[in-house]
Amino acid sequence: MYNTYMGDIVANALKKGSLEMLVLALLEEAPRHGYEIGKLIEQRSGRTLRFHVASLYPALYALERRGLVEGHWGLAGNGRKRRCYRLTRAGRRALADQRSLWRTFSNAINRIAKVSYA
Amino acid sequence: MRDFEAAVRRTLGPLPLLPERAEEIILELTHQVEDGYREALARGVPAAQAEAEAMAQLGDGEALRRSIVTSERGEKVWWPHPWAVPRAVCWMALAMVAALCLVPGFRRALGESTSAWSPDRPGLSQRTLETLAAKGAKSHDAHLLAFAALHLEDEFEASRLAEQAITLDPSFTWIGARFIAGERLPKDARVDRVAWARRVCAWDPENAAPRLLAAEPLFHSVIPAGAQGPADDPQIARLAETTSWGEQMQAAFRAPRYDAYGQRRFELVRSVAGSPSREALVWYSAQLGPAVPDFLQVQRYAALVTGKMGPEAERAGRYEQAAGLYWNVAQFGARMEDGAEWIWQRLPARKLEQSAYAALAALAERRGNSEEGAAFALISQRLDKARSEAAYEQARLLRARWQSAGSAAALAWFAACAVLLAALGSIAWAVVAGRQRGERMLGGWRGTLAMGTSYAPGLLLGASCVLYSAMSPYLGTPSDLLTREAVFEEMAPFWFSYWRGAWNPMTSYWDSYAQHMFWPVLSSVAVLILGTALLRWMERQRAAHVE
Repeated sequence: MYNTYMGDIVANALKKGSLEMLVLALLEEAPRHGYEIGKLIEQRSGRTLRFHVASLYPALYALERRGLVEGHWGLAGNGRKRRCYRLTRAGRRALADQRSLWRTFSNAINRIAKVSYA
Repeated sequence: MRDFEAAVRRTLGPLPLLPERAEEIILELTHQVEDGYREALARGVPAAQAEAEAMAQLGDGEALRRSIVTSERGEKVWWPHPWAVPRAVCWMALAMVAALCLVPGFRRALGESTSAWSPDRPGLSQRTLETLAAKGAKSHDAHLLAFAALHLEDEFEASRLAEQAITLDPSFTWIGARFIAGERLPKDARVDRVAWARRVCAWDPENAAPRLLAAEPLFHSVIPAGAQGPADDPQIARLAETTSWGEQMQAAFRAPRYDAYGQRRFELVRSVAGSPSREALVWYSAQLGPAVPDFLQVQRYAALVTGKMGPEAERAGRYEQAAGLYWNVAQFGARMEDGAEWIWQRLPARKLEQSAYAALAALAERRGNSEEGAAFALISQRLDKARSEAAYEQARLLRARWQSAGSAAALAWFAACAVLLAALGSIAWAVVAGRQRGERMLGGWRGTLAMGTSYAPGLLLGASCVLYSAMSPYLGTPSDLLTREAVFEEMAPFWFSYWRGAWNPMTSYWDSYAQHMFWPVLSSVAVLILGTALLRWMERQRAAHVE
C-alpha cells in the first residue's frame, strides 16, 4: 500500500517536472501540434508516460505565454488546419538548461541509488 | 460525425479570456478530440464508443477550464471555486439582510449592541444635560428643566433649574426632594436644604418620604451614612431626647403615605431620555428616586420604638401607649412596603412590620390576652416567612435573569462582531468579484479574497439572525415599559451585563471589554488561520488530483 502510494506520488512528480522538457525536446525536432506531441510522448516512452489533455495543453499554453514556444495555425500532413507549435530561441536555451539540469540531477540520483544500466 | 466543437464548448463552459484566444483554444481542443475519434475508429472501435473515448480525453471540464485559465494567466484561479458559495446565493443572502434592515427591531438591535463600544456611560453627559436645560428654558418646557435639575451634578445650577421647572409647572415640586438630603450627589453649600424640605413637605404633607429626608441631617450628625452599629445605640436615644429628630421621625411614621417619587421620576426619564435611547432609560431607571430615605435611619428609629420606647411605656403601665407605638411602626412598614420602588426596599419594610407585630404579640401575651397575642404572632410569623420566600425567589429569579442576559449579551456581542466583519467582507466581495463582468474567474490575491469572502454574505445573514434573536427579549420600546421595576427587571440585567461584564459583575469597565471581546477575537483569528490553511490544502489536493 505504502509503496504504491509513494510510487504514485514520485511518478506524478517526475511526470509533472519532465513534461516541459519533453515538449520542448519534441518541438526541437520539428513543429508539431498538440495531439502529435501527446502521441509521440506515449510512443517513445513505450507507453510509460501518458499525459492527459488537462495537463498537456495547459503546459503548452504556459510555454507559449513564457515565450518558449510559438503557436501558429498551419496545415497538418492530412491537409487539415491545425494549431502547431515551434520552438523559439528562448525555448532552445531553456531546453539546453533543462537538459543540463536533468543530467546533473539524474547522475546525482544514480550515484546515490547506485542505479546501473544493463 | 458528431459536432465535437459544440461538445467541447459545453464541457469547458465560458472561458474568461479574450474572445479570440478562447476561440483558438476551443478549436484546438476540438481537433484533439476529432483526432482521438478518428484513431479510435481506425482501431475498429464502434462509432458511439469512439465518440465517448474521444470526449473522455478532456476529463473533468471544470478542472480543464481552471487549468487552462491558470496557464494562460500565470496565476492560480481561486474564484469561482467548487467550494465557493455561488454568486446567486450570495446575492440572495445580501437581499435577505437588506430586508431584515427594514425591520425596526433589527435596526435597534444592531445599533444598541454596538453602542457598548462607546467608552461613554449610557447616561447623558453633563454637557447634553446643560443643552437640554437651555432648550427647556428657551421653550418653557418644564419636563426638560426638571430632568436636567434631577441629573446635573452642579447642585446649585440644578436647584436654579428646579425653581424654573416648578414655576412653570408646580406638579414638579417633588424634584425638590433631591436637595433636601443631598447625600447621593455632590453637595453645594449655597443650596438651602431646609427651605427645600419645607417646600416639598408643604406641597406633599401626607408623604412620609420627604419628612424622613428632612430628618436625615440630624441623624447623620450622630451616625455617619452607611455606618454599622448596634440597633440599640444609646446615641440614637440621646438624639431623640435632645433634638427634634424624634418628633420629625414620629411625624414621618404617622404620615398616611410613603412615596419616594420613583414612578414620577420614571415617567419623566421615560419622556425625556427614553425616546432617544433605551440604554439611557435603563441607566437612569436603575438609579434610585430623588426621595429615597436612608433606611438605616428608619431601621434605627423603629428599633428605638420597639426596643426602648415601647418597653419603657409597658414598664410604666402605659400599655395603650406602647401598643400605639408598635402599631405605628407596623403601619409605617406596610405603607413603606406599598410605596417601595423595588423588592429590595419592600423586604426591609416587611421586616419592620414583622418586628412590630412580634412586639404587639408579646405585649398581648403579657396582658393576658392570649388569643390576640396568638393572632399577632401568627401575622408576624407569616410576614417573616413570606419575606424569606420572596427574598429567596427574587434572588433566584435575578440570578437566572442575570445569567441568561449575560449569555445573550455575549452572543449579541459575538454576532455584532460577525455582522461587522461580514459586512466588510461582503463589501470587499462586491468590489472584488461583483465588478468582474468580463472575467468571471479570479486568480491571485483577488481570487483568494473573493473565495474567502464569498462566505461573507451567508455569514452576515446568519449573524444578523443570531443578533436579532439574542436581542429580541430586550427590544421593547419605552412605551411597553410602564414601571421602573419592569425596566429594571426585564432589561437591566442585559444592559448591566454589557456595562459590567457578562461573567463577573464586579469587574472594572475596561476589563469587561476585554472579557467580551477576547473570545470573539480569538475565535475569529482561529477561523481565519484555519480557513486559510484549509483553502491552501484544498488547492494542493486539487492540483495533485488534476495532474
